[in-house]
Amino acid sequence: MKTFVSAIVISHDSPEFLSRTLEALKNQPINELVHVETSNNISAGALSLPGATLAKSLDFAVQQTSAESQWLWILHEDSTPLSGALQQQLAVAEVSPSVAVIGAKQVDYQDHRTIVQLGLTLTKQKKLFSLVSGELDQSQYDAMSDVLAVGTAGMLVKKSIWLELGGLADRMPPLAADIDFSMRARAASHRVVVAPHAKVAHAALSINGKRAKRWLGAAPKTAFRRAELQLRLSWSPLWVAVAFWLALPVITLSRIVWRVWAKRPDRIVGEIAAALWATFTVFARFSTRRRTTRAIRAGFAALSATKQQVRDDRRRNLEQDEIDARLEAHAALAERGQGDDATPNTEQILLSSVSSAKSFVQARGLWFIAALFAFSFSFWPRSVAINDGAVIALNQNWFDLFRRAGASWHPIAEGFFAPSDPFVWVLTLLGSLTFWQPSLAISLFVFASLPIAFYGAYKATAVFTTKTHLRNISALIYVLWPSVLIAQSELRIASLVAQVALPYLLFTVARVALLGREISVRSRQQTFTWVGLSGLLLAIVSAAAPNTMVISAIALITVFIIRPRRIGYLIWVALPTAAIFAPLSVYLAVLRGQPLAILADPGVPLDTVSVAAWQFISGALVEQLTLPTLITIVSSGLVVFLAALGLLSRRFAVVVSLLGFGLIALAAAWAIAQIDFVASGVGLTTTQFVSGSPHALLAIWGLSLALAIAAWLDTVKRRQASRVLATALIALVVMPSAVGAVLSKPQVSFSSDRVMPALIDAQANSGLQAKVLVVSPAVDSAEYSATLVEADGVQLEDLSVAYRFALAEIVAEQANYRVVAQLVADLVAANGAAIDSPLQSNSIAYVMIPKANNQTESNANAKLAVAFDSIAQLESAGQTDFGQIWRVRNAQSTAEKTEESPWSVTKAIQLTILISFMLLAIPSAGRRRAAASSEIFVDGGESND
Amino acid sequence: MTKRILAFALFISALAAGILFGGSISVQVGKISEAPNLTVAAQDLRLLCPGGAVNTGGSSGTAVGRFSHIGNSLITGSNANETAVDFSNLNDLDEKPNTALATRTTSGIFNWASATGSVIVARGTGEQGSTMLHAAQLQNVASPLLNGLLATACQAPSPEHWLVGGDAATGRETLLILANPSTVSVTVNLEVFSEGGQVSAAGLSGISVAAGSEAIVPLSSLIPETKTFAIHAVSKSGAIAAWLQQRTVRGLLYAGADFIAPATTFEKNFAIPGILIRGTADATALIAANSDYADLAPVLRVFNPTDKPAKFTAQINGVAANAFGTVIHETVAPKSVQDFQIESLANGDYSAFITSDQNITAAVRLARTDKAKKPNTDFTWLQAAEAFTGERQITVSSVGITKLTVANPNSKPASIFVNSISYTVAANSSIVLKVDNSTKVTIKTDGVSVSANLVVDVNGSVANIALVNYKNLGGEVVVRVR
Repeated sequence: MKTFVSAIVISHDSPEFLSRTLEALKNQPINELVHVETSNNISAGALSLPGATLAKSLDFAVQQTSAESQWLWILHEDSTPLSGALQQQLAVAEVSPSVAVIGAKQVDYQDHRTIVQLGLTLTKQKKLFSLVSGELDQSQYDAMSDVLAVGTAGMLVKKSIWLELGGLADRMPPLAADIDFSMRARAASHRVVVAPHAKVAHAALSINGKRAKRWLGAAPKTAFRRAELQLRLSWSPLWVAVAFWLALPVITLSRIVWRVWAKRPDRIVGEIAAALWATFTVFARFSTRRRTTRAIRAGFAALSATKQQVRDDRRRNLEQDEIDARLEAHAALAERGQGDDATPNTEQILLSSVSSAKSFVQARGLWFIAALFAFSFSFWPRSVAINDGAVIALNQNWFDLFRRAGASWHPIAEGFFAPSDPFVWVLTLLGSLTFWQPSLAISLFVFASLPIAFYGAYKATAVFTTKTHLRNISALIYVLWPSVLIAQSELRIASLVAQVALPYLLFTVARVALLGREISVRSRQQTFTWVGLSGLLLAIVSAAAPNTMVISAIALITVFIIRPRRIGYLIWVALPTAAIFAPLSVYLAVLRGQPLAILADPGVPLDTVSVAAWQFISGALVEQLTLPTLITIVSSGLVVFLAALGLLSRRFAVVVSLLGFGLIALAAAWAIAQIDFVASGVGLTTTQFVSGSPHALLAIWGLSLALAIAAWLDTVKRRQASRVLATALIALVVMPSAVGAVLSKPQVSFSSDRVMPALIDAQANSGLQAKVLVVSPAVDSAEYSATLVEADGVQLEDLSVAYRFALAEIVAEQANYRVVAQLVADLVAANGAAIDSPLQSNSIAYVMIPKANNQTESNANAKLAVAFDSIAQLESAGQTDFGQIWRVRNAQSTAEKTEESPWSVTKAIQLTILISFMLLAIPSAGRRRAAASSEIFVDGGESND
Repeated sequence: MTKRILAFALFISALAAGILFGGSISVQVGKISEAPNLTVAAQDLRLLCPGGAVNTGGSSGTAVGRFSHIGNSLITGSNANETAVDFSNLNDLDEKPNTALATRTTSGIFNWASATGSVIVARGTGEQGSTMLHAAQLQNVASPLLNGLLATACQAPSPEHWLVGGDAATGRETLLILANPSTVSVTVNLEVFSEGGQVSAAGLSGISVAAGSEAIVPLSSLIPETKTFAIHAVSKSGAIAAWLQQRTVRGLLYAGADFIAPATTFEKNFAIPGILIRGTADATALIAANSDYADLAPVLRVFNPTDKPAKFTAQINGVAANAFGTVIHETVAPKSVQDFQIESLANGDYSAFITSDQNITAAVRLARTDKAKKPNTDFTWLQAAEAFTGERQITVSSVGITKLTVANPNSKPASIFVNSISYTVAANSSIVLKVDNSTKVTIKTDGVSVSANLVVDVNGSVANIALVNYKNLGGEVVVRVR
């Protein structure tokens, strides 16, 4: 007896695919055709059901089939049956009466030799899993039969069973509905099989995002996750389902972390959206729960994906990803000039062997590192905290340090609401290295800054040359560049951090953009590692030297233009910087109306000497032209001249780009030095204005010169000539710079990480809530400056750019500032005025005159000390390392200590983004393989884990 | 290749343009908090006077470590209306209390005899300054162990003093007088600078000055045989007053003495008024006959407290058209002091105008010689005078001939009033006015600052008194709260 088959085609406004499908159906032994169009465009012979879901469309179509219809053959307009497909499926049905649902072998729409799906199942963790995907069809799966589920594209199903089970569940997410139907069929003791010889070419428009979003109800990635969640809630035992739903926020958070760790940040939105959907449609989700028995679940388990299948799939996906990444790299590199012999060829890329350079160790890099450590010997930490310059100790407790990062409230002055400096994040990160004594990390960093910078510069030079001797020399030129040495010797910690991080930033961005002679094309995951590193490094450089942000933006835009294909990666690089700077930028630019204040240096305001323009070119911003300085300047001049000679070399384009960029940085350095930023704020700094610090910008200039030299000397092919030039460079540039630097040994001091006299610090540690009034006399006028600080003092993380620029308005607005001013006036006049009340109301327990920096200050302090000595309410407590202190007799702390939470929405966002980028930055290739376990529907860049 | 050469030229040109046209501009971002001018009452104005000249070695002059005052000095001063003045004395050098007390509630000129050093306290609500209270002491000593006219302005106590002058070579004695008016003892540390730089010596630190007393430090015990020096005295836990007292012995003849007041001016441009040269012929004859009289020639002592060499030019300008001056152009090493002979000055009235590239101070040793008298010489150390605008007052002693010198160290003329009489002082020049004994001299100037002092001559002996504007911190105080 001939089997009556009703073909059902559900289409949704894709006429080009529909026509092929309908044409193909003419060659299939169907008895009738029911065509339902769900869009508003009605095609001839189609039944119109605009806006209907897949489940409703199928219900409607089944109702239109003839009464004698026995089998329903479901097709989408993008699933075109190949010749003999239905016959093969019917043949399976004929020999197996218990079979109720028969799936087809779904092959690539363009390439029929590639299998895209052959049955579906779930993993042990109830994740969607395609048993076969992206494999060449070599008949290796032709023996397959029973599966847990099949997709609706090409599904042949008994009409009676369809009606018995009620078709697809409309409340199910579309991508779960077909699996759910198959599982229901199995639960009803029917078989679900695939017919490997029946082929359907499937374009998978929905999951490739080529249909309207409404069709899946969400973006494809979200739709996949929704399907997984629904199947988990529908098919798990009730208590498991409830527990799963309750734990969904935690599970989602964990999965987000895992996604970032696995370098799949593109999945985060889908994870969140699906979790929110499942959370807020809980009744709808539980309304489609299925009754299962232990036997049914055991049957399902037998058909779940095995561990071996999951592992194989993971490996396949990894390989495919690597191939895709290399092809992408090749496409990007093809944009280079044909004549550039530095461009790796396709074979090199596919073999991932584009680097023939020696390793850092082979290039004797460790010797230079050792030499630079010896060079920095005077910075060897002799105690916990390094002092002087722009460095004061960090908080002794790392958790307090972390509290200040990204905080919106500061325990300074009267309590201050404003975003903290982005640089505090850098300090927190740095302090984490020695979390038990965060200040030690600063000391160690200063000591190790040159070797670290050298390694970074060595890596950065790989962008322009593969010759290791040139890389070593160029890296030395950078670390001996005057602005780097000055930042180290003057302990300009923020600027030093920026200058150390700069070459690393260049290197990682080049990796992301596939720029340079050495490229890395291992996988997309590796690219995301570079993205993570670049994002963090850009944030570090910007936070430490905000005046470099404009230059960084110009550089990034330039890279966008050079590498438009990599914009998808590069766009993320700026995210951490944007996150940590957004609150402060809004505060300064919008609320305070001082947009240029964003360029102010963080930390201790330190003035830059005013020098002639030519000294900017040399990078040596020093006041006195001593012998070491002159040696350094002459060496720097040679560097500039040698770099300029590169303009005459064959690598003109590279050199001119580098020098052009360097000139912009040089001009910016000069400009920033002309800006005087208000300096007076919390802390002991009494200077009113300081000029902007151009050192980081000068470091960009220096790095451009060093790289330009590396680029043009790379063109020298003769080994002998190259060696002569290298020797000349060492003799004329490197050695004099080193000698100059050695001759000008800096004076640094080390101490414990206290920032207050031991007497006060001890009381602060034992819970003293009172404050210390710090009074400083101006040496050249009858003016005094005063500040109220907590008993535990002012640490580096307490310094706030926002406070500096808001202080003028705060002082005008808050009456207590005038009370304190009057108190100080009475103290310095020592006139016997009634000072008990203001001392008590401000909880002042100590008065301190900070330690003088020179004889003039010392003399001014001595006069003030005499006044304080004559005040009955003050009792001299002696001279300390931090200055002279007086104890307030009968001091009482009456003020309630206001302690606002350091947490805020902005801090949470910043922390989330920073942690995400840290996870991205950590290489996780091994774990990534594990993470990509359940890839499904991998075409079109869409993987399904 | 053309493109490359062009790029090279452009790059070099860009750098050259930057060097040539990259000047210096200033853009301020942010504003500093407004520092309110706060009105505070000042401490009562307190002055200290050193008292009678100090004798070393008891009556024989040989007892080590024994100091005593010789007679009384006469303190002359004036106080303003509604200002009460209390007079008291410091303990004697052998720690005996001097209990003489007095309170004055009227205004005008006063006199007070001071043997052991005195404390004068002015109480009142008026604005502090020399117009509220000023005082200076004068003593013409004629004794077997010390001869000469000693005068000095009384001092407001301060935690540090710079003393430029004195001589500790053979036949010259310099004592450091430290006076502590407070009720607690203070500790004083000294820094001594000589021609070779800062001097390291034992005993420079930890000098204790008892409450309400004076301490005498003979510098010959700290820096023996040092001819040229400057002293920096810094006190802890209290303010003090400090003077140097120099006496000169030529053979067996005690021939000259003076109090040396602290320097108050460390500037790049300042004046030393009152170089009134007399008896040049006698001095020249004495110098020619005996090298021990070499210090009769005027000397400019320059002290550079900075860390850099100080190049200075000292113009010694005559007041009258026929008094030709001289110019000294020299360099003083960092943290050192140096004497420069002022040569070729004829009798006449002069003032020194000094410019330097560093903040320095200076003093002039002015000798007075009259072979017909015995002792035949005396001297005084004129200090760099503070340039002031506004009003200053000083009272002339009742004895001797006193001349007021007003010098203008600026590059434009200064208009002044001396006791309401108008005078114009040309740029870099000075005027000398004889002032009457026992009168109060009021000097007013607006706009252009001037410097002034009094030079007193009593029977051929010479001394000088600086104009000091005594003022405790009060009135308007600027406090910037951060």
